[in-house]
Amino acid sequence: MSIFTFALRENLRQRLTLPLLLLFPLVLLLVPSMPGSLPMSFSLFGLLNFYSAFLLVRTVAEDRMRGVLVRIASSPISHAHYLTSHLAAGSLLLITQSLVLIIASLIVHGSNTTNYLLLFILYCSYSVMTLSFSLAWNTMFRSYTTSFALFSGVGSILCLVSGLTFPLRFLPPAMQRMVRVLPTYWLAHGLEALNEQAGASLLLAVVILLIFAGIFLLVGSRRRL
Amino acid sequence: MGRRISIESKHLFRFVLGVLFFLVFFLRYRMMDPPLLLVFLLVVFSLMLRWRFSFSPAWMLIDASLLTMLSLSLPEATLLLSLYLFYFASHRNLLFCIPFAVYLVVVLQGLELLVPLFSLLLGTLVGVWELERMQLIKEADEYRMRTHHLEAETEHLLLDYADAQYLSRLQEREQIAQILHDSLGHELTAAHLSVKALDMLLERGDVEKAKVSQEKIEQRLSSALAQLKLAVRQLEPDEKQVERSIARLFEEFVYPVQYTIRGDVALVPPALQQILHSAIKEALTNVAKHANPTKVSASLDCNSTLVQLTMENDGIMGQKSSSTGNGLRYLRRRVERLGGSMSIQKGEQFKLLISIPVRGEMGL
Repeated sequence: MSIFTFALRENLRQRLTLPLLLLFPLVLLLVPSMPGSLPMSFSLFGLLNFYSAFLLVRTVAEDRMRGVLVRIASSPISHAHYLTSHLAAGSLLLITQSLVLIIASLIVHGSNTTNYLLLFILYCSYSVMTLSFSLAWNTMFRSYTTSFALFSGVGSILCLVSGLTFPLRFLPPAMQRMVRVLPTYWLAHGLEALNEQAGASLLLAVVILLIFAGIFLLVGSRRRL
Repeated sequence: MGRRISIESKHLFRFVLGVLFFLVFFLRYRMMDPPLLLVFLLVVFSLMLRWRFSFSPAWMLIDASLLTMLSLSLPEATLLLSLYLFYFASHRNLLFCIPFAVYLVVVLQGLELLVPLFSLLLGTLVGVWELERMQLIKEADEYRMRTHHLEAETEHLLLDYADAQYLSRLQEREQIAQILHDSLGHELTAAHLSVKALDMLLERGDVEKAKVSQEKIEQRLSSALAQLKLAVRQLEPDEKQVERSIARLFEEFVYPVQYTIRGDVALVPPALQQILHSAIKEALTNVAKHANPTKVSASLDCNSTLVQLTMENDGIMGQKSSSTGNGLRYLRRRVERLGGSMSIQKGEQFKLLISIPVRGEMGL
């Protein structure tokens, strides 16, 4: 069994994984939309995706905390191979989650709501970013429980002020400028660009999300035994 | 044992880079539109890539050049070049800094020029610190290596010394066996045969011949006794030899030495005798090399439990360092290996005190 398959199976064995991936995106569709904007479920999905990514990184974090990484380090498997396999498995599951939401909203809201292909690309880049962020976040802690306890607070605040749980325009203008440095903001920005059909702005959001992903990956991929 | 916390140049590098980054961010915060933020993030990514993987600083020229080109259409991003100036300066690539420094001087105005200037200065400082640190590490490694070699050499010498002692004892035994066999053995065998002959003569009642045989036996035994005495005299060590050799060291020294020897040096085990001899030689060499004394005194006390050597001189020590030299350090190690101690007092007089307990035959 390859590491990729093993990571996929380990992730799916977690009790919350399947509901998070398949059920919760459907529940989000029940949230009423605001007039003149994209369905609320599109931005709330950012929060769901963020927490799902954190859950999927659990296997990597626990491998380090339980000392499995030390055994892997002494085997012929390189750290890069181990990490890419786990990240690929996590990304695949998060992309599946995005697809579930997109297909379901295509059925519920119809094909005229937005450009679903661009939305899928935006979600894909966001998923990679959330996965890398979770990886980097976990490197700061020795216990997954502590890491999750703090993340649940920080993650909610990040999504709240970034305009994922409520529209960004309700925030004070000074705050709106400040939140641009947050990675989660760029999903809200991309969704707004998608709504306004501003292609350049959307591309910028996707690129910035990918750069954030790269930065977090550089921090999170360090081999800490 | 707690982990030693030390601040290295890489920590200062990261700290200063962070401070510079936040300074630039703060100065450009009001102009922070999405394109500028994108450039900021790209610069962060580029710097973090170098932190994570070790590339040659020359590769950073591509990043800096791209940023320079980008800053032509996005002037707000120009200040970010200061971070690259810091990077190049801290990696001691001052040549790479020149084109970007010139560009910054031309483009930036007013107080903003201070940012690249400070970046350059701080980068150079960090670079110099790193260079010095590397040199120190190299020197420390060399010293460690030298100490390791010296210790290994000492170990070998002491082992060789113990082997030599063992071999000399074997040789002594062989010599004793040879003497006993060659001289004493021959006479005793002859005496034994004569006793048997005497028995036979007495049984036959030949008293005259028996008396002759008895005289021969007495002669043989007297000869054996004389040869035994001779052999013992040959084997017996010269008890005063060591004492004479030590006294000769003092007497033949370039400066007059007032010395006293108390106790019997011959009672001291051979291993200690040799250390004692070396210690006196080393101490006298030191006096000749480093001091210009008017008075040198030495005293050696030997008893059944302790050997104590004290040497004093009033010469001025020309050495700038207060630490002991190689010879004394080596001597100290040998003394300590025998369970003894060596101390040096430096004041108006230079005093060397060596005490070694007498443990047994070898003392090792």
